[in-house]
Amino acid sequence: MSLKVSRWFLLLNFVLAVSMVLPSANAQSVPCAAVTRNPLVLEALLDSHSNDAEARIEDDTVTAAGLAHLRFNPIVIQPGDALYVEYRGRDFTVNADFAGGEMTAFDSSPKGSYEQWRKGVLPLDLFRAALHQRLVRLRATAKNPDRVLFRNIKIIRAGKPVFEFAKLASYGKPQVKTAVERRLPCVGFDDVPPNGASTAVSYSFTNPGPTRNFSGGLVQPMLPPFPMMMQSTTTGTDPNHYKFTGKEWDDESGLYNYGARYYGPALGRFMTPDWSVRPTPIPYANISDPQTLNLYNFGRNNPLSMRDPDGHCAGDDCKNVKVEVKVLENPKIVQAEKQEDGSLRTGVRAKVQDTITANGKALVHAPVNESNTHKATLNGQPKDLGAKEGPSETNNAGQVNDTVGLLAPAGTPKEDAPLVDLLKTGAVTYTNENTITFATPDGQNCQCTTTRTITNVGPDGKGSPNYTIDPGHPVVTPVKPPAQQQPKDKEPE
Amino acid sequence: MLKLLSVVSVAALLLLPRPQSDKFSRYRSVEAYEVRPGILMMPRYTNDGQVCEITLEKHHYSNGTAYLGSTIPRGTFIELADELVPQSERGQQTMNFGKEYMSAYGGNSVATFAEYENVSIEISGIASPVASAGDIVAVIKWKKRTCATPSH
Repeated sequence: MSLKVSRWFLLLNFVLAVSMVLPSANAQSVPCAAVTRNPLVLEALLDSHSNDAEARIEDDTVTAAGLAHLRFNPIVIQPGDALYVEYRGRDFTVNADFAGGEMTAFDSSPKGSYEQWRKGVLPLDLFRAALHQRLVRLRATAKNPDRVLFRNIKIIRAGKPVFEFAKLASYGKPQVKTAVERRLPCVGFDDVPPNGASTAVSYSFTNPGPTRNFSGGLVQPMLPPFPMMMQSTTTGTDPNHYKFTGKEWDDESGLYNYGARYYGPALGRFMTPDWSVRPTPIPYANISDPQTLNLYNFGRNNPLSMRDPDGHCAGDDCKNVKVEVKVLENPKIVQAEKQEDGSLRTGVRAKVQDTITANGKALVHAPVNESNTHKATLNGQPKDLGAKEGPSETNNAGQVNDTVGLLAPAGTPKEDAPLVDLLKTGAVTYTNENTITFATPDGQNCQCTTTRTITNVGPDGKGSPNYTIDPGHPVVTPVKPPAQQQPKDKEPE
Repeated sequence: MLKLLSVVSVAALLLLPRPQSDKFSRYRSVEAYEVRPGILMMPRYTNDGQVCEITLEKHHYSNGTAYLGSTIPRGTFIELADELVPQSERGQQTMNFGKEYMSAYGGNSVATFAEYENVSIEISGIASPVASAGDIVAVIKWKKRTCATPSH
């Protein structure tokens, strides 16, 4: 796959890249994240490898034996980098060698065959030791090295190929080379020399040296079969390719295609970090939710509540949910008032209404779980009544109607008189924190918390017969997963 | 002969059914009393054996019938509270709205409470939807006693 980038686009990006370099020419470090997604830089990376007759890249395929002859400038592996490869054959192991001597090995799929092309994605960043190391060589060992074939080998970064081994001959065009020779500041490798001097690096590799030999060093433990090669229990006879969250299951790679990225169910994470069209250090970051800083997780590590419709940031349907609070009746002192259940009550009460809409549509007849805390204060003496949880439901207009206040069973007017007098003269405050939890039509669990307060306490701290209500400001958020209980430390014997 | 007898004894011990206390030993036991037909009372205690908390709630299965309703008439709760904690034990009412019991309404729940010097009584129930409204559980707490047994 080649990147089709117009000259004008390249020029524009080059100007942008140069403009980013100039102010930081003497800087010790250069912000890399924004630059590495620049198409020009991608071209530069693509140009940083070279063709070599010994590589025997014919018809875009290379044998297992020939894989080690692929020559490329060492690439510094960044979080999320992955190796995409199409392969034919079985009983082989792909090794990724790093400059520090580390090696990451991937076993072939037991489903591999010499007749059929399969594809897979190998995460190059799985081991901490591999991060920020230079990938210097790929090689494969196989039972039948000449029968195992590879093609379309790419390194994927931020959802895009940054290095295509099988297209070597198509790169190295003059305009790209010119751009490369302009000394890009930060292209994901060799960006900060050890001496901290200029970060400029020249990438013109017309005469690459021989493949370096690496021997010794740590050998990474063999990975468990990687999703590329680890198949699920799905069989080829299952006609339904759309499985978890309705996304297409790729039987060959063992990955789900979420559009922007592939998701590896065996690892429980995306294979590449999240990315955005507009260069940004951490796409979709929300500083109030640390999970958004993890660019690999699915649904902010909250798959029970969060969706991920397109492989980008976890879908937060709760953002499209609105809860409007309306005061149906202002608070007032009532005496022997007939309630909905037929009982007579005396006290002070208001009526409020929550209307829930999702994407502009009322959430009608939706099961709602409510949690309410009650706190009453009489003449400065508080009474905390804790939390009460229970089910409820929206009506046919997506509304939940509530009575809010302090009420007692009504007696005779004489019996009720002390309560009525107290409500008129005492300093009374009642606070109800109401949390409703519900599911959107798309299945995301949201909660809305509103704190309602009824009071007759004026600025002087004294009560009056005039009650006011603060219906609160509803805040809708995704439901957080329950906190995991920490295992208790074993008590000393 | 003695050897044979001892072997038989050990075998008999191993083969005998285990007592119930052993069978459920991995579960926490809850002490419960049926204070009215279909109403359970569960006490908790202080270290010195004094009652510090009482919970009253519905018993849902008895004599082959499952009782699906969870509400208990408030009058019954109040009657039981009077039985279990006589007025003489409660001390003065400390939060007096002019009624012995006051109910706080908010959301779908209602919390009915009475506050005394020595104890607090709280009855929690459903306020809405009206079809299922009613009181579900009552908790009586002794304010000056610290429970040692775990919460229900």
